Amino acid sequence: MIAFAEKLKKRPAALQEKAEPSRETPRIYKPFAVVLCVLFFGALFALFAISVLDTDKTVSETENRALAARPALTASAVFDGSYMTDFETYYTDTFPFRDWLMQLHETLSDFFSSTKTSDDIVLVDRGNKDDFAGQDIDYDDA
Amino acid sequence: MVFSSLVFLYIFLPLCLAAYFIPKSIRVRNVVLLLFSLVFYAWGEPVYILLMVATTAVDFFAGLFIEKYRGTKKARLFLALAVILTLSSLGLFKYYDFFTTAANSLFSVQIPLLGVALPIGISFYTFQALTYVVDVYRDKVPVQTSFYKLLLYVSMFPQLIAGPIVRYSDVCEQIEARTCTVQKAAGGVVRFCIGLLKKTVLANFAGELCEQLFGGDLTTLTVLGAWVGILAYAFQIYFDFSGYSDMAIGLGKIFGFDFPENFRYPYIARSINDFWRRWHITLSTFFRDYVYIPMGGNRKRWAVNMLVVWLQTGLWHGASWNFVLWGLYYFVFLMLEKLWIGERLAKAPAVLGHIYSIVVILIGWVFFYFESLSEIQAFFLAAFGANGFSSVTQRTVIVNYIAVLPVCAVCALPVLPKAREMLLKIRSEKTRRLLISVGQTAFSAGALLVATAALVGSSYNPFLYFRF
Repeated sequence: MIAFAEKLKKRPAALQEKAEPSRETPRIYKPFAVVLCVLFFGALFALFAISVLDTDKTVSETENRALAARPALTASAVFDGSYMTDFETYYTDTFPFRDWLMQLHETLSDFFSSTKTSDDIVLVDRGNKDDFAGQDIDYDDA
Repeated sequence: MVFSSLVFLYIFLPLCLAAYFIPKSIRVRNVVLLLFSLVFYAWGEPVYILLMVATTAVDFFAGLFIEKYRGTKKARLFLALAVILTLSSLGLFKYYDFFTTAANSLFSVQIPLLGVALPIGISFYTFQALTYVVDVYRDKVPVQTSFYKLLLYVSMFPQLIAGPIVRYSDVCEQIEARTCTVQKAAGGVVRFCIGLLKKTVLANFAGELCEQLFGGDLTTLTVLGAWVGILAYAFQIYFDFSGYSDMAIGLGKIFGFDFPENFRYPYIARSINDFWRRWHITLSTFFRDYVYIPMGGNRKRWAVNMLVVWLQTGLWHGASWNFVLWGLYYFVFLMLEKLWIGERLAKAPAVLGHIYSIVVILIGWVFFYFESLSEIQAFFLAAFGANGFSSVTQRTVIVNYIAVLPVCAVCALPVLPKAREMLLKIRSEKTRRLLISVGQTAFSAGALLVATAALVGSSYNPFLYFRF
């Protein structure tokens, strides 16, 4: 029990040690703190509002695929968790400025990896088809 | 729900912030935070939320009874009951199948398995609930008489699913009263953004590199591929987990809470003992204060106590033999340091300590990454040359991701404390604060943009610590 009591006494001291250096950090000016919070929280609210108000795209031109639609809200889907997973997919697929953000990510990713020539991507001629959703790609056409 | 998702950032968080900051009364704010926390948990575990509420209820009532019968044997009885019940939910959902499989193969019997999925965050919140009931028994914290406040402590969404393991004693006063200032919130935003970048950029790219090297057939893995791969994994798990802790601490600050730190640049450790004072600090201090010391600590049977703690630390990370090995592996090195090389290491040049620690830690991650003994064996064969030094495909992968490791390495070093030191050398108070102000504002804006782009752009977004 004595050793335990000693340990307990030591804890606050150890915490103080840790807190010491951070106390010296120059604090952000209050007006800047306001600007920072307004920018950050404002961005969250703005994109939330846009994502609620804008009309959802159904097809991605750049990816040539149908985008996920908003899942139907049913009790069974909520209880087995599939509603949440589907909603996440839907929300990511129809996020505001999605194409622009994806392009930005591509550009930034180039710094870290250059895996664009992946085996998964097959170059095909689009011809006069609108998109390839639901169709088999005929390799002879390409 | 996880922090690094668009639904969290752009639906959950704005709604929660609005609901939290519009009312001024702390009681309303506590209720708002509790409701949002329950939604946060239910988003990922719609059914097991009942288990979390039940666990909290057990410890809540046990706390009341312990207080009522304080000083008598009954208090001890209620403590034991609460600890057994709390741990049994963890035992049932996390360890039942593991031990049953072991028993089945050992005694060649056929006890049926449960086959249930692990409820998210169960390893974290059961420990948090335990700190409450144990500390009430030890008379270290006052008993909590309103259930919703205890449930708020256990379920609070910033720290709910991946730590840090916040003790009740850390936050019991903050639940009753806390100050939210715009400067504290700004600090929280910066901290959150650091974590978001660690997770969405560093951890994910390191993870891709690791996956490309380890994802295929291990018999074609070369020496180069093996070591680069395990290094990438070391960065992935560090940035993933410490990023999550940063986001938790940052969010806590926004809502007015101060959570304990969980990481202190673990990869600059000079010994394994030092590493465990820097890695997942709230877990190792939990085991120290709630297992090691109650068992007798350093005074009696300390080697046995150590063994028990490290077996538990291993098993805490997952109900599987590789984690048992991982725990024992660290037990061996900690014993070695305590009995033999510890003092010599302290006297030796720092660089020796760093090299020794990094090598031990890297090899340790092998037991953590590969879950079967045959894979672990295949890895070590590869790492020591069974399949040749390097191959064209693995060189191509490494060259493709050539920037990942150096960037990760720099970010794993204490660059921010160094930057702060340099900042403090600037004489003029005005310049210092202006630099900090502009820097933090620009950083947060940029980080949110980059992280959002990464979340939109990549579907590759698994959370490693989700398994625990």
